[in-house]
Amino acid sequence: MTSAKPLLEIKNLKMHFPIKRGFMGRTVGHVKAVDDVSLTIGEGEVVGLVGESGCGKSTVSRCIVRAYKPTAGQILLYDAEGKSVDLAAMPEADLLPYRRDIQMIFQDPFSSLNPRMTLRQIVGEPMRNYRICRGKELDDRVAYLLESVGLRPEHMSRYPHAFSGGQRQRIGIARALALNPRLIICDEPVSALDVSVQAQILNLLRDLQAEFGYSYLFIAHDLSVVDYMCERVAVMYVGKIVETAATETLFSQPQHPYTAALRSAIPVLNPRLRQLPVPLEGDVADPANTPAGCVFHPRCQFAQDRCRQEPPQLNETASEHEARCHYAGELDFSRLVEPASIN
Amino acid sequence: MAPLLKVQNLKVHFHTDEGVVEALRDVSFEVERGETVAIVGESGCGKSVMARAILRIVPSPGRIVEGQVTYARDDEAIDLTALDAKGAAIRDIRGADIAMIFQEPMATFSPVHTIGNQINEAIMLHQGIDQTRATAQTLDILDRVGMPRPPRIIHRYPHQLSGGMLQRAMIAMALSCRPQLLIADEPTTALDVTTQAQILRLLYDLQGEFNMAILFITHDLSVVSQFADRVVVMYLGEVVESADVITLFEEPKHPYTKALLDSIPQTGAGRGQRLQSISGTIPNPLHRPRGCLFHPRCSSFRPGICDRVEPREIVLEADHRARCVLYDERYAEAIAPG
Repeated sequence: MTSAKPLLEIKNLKMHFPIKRGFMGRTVGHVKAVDDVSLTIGEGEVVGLVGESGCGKSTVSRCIVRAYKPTAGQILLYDAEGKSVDLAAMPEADLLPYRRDIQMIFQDPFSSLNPRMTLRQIVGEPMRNYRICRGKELDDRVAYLLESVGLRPEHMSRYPHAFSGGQRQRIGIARALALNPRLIICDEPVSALDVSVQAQILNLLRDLQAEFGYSYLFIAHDLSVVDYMCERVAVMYVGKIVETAATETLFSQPQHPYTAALRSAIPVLNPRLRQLPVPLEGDVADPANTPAGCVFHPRCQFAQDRCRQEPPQLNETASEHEARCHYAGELDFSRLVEPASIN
Repeated sequence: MAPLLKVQNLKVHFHTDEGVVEALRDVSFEVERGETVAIVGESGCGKSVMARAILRIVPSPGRIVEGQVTYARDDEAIDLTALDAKGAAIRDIRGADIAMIFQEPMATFSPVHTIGNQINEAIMLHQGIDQTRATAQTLDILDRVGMPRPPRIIHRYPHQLSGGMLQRAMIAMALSCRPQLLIADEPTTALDVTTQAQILRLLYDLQGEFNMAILFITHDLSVVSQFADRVVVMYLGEVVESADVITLFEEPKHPYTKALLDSIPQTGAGRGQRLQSISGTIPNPLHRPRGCLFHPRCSSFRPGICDRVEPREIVLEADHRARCVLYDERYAEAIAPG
C-alpha cells in the first residue's frame, strides 16, 4: 500500500460487544462496533480515520492499545528488523514491553489529566513506570519534553487547573512523547479546543512528526483537519471501512457515496461559493442490527436492488484506492450539492 | 422601516466572588427583517450571554447594566431591557415573537413530558386555542421540519429520539408560533457533519418559507460563510468587527478577524502549508488586558498605543466597522511606518 515499511498492520479486526438481557445475563445479540477492519500504518506515516459518531473509530484505537481485547483479527506491530508480534491475541502480562511503543492523545484535555498530579508527575510517570530515569535526570527529561511542546519548564510543579484547554492538550502531548513511542494515536485531539488554539496544536503535532518521525493514527470527525494532517485516510461507516485512499484522491475523487456525502456536507469557507448539500436522509444504522446488503444502502441515493441484497467487498478500484461499493467509480456525485443564492 | 431588532450599547456584568466579569461591554448591532446575522466568536466572547440578554434570561449573577434592546413589533417599538424579566410582557414575546434554539436539545425539553405535549403547550399558551387544534398544528409543524411519522413522534419522550431528530423537534417547537426572529445558539455544534448539513438545510428552507430573521450564534466561520448575510465578530465581550458576509471574508480589517480566517484548515486548499496560528490563549475575563483586549495576541501590536488606548469603533464603509486603532485617524501618524 505504501512504500514505507509497515509499522502496524491491522488485519480483519472485529470487536463485537455482547448485549446481555435478563437475570441470567443471556446474550441476545452483538453490537458489531468494529467489523472486519484492515488498515496498515507505515513507519513515519500519518493515517486519518474518519467517520460519524458511533462508527467505531474510537473502538479501533482502543483495540490497538488493548484497552479492549478484540473478538477476532490480528494487530501486528513490526520492529525495526521487520519482525512482527500480534498484539490482539497477546496475554495482558506480555503486553508491557509493547505498550511503550504506542501512546495516545485524548480528546478532552480536562478529564484526561489527573487534577491531583503536578506536571512533573503527569509527564514523568511513564518514565518512572518503565524505570527509565529518576531524580534529577527525570526532571531534566520532563523539562525537555515540556519545552518541546511549547510549555515553560518552570511550570513543572503546577497542577493542571492552572492551564487553559490548549495548554492542557500540550501537557497530554508531552506525556505521550515521554516514552519515545513509534505510533501515537490522536483521538479527536483538537475538537474540544477553540478555533484560534486548534491551529497551534495542529502545527505542533506536525512539527513533532517532522522532527522525530512519529507515525500518527489521526482520528477525527472534522474532515478539514484530517485533510490538513494526513497522507492517507480511511473512512468508516457502522464498523466497516468503506473507502481508503491518499488524502488528495479521497477528497477530489471519492468513489463511495458515503465519502462523497461527507465531503459535500463540509461547508466551504467562501461566501461567494454557496452550496446546499443534499443531506443524507435518516440516521446512522444501528450496529446491533445492521441492514442486509450494503450497510449504507438505506441512506444512499444511488442504491439499486443489488445493494439491498449483496454486501459489497472492499475492492481496489484504482491504484492505492479501495472502496466498498458495487458501483465504485461509476457514480456521478455532482447531484449531491446544489448551488444556493445569497438571499 | 426600523430594524427588527436593535441592540445598543448593551452591557452585561456578572458579579462574582472574585470580581466583576464584564461579559458584554458596549455591544451594538442591528438585525433587519428576514436577514441572517451571524455572531461569531470563541469561548468567553459573550455571544451566548448576548442571546440570553435579548430574551432577558441571563443567568444569575449576571445583570444588564446598561443599554437598550429595541424590538419592533408591528409598528410599536419595545425596549426589552425595560421589561420585567418575569413579567407578562416579556413572556408574551418569548417563544411567540422571538424564539430560541439551543446547542443542547436534551436540555430544552423536559424529560418527563412527551414531545407532542411540550409543543402543544407552547402553541396553546401563545395562541389561546384548544388542545385538538393545537395538536393539529403540532403535527403540521413536525412534518414541515422533516420529522418522520409525526403521529408517532408526538407520543415519544425526548430520550427516545436521536440527536438529529431532537434538534428537529426543538426547531419545530421554536417555529410553532411563527416567530419574527429566531435566535440559534450553536445549533449544530454538537452534531456530526451530515446531521449538521441536514439542520442547516432545514433552517435555510424554513427561513424562506416563514420569512423570519435568524440571529445565528456560532464559532464556525465556514458555516457563517455559507449561511449569513451579515457577520458580527466578537472578542471578550466586545464587537471587534462587523460587515456583510462578502466584505468580511474578502476584506477583513481587524487583526483578530484576519487571524481567525487564516487559522482554519480548509479541505483541498493549501495542503502542506502551515496554518497561521494565533499565539497565546484567550485571557481570563477577570484579568482583561489594558488597552485593546486583543493586543497581547495581535501580530500588528503597536507598543505605546495598543496597550494604552481602548480602541474606538471606526466606520470604514457604510456597513463595515472595525474596532482597531490601525484605522483611527487620530493615531495615523503614530502608527505610520518610520
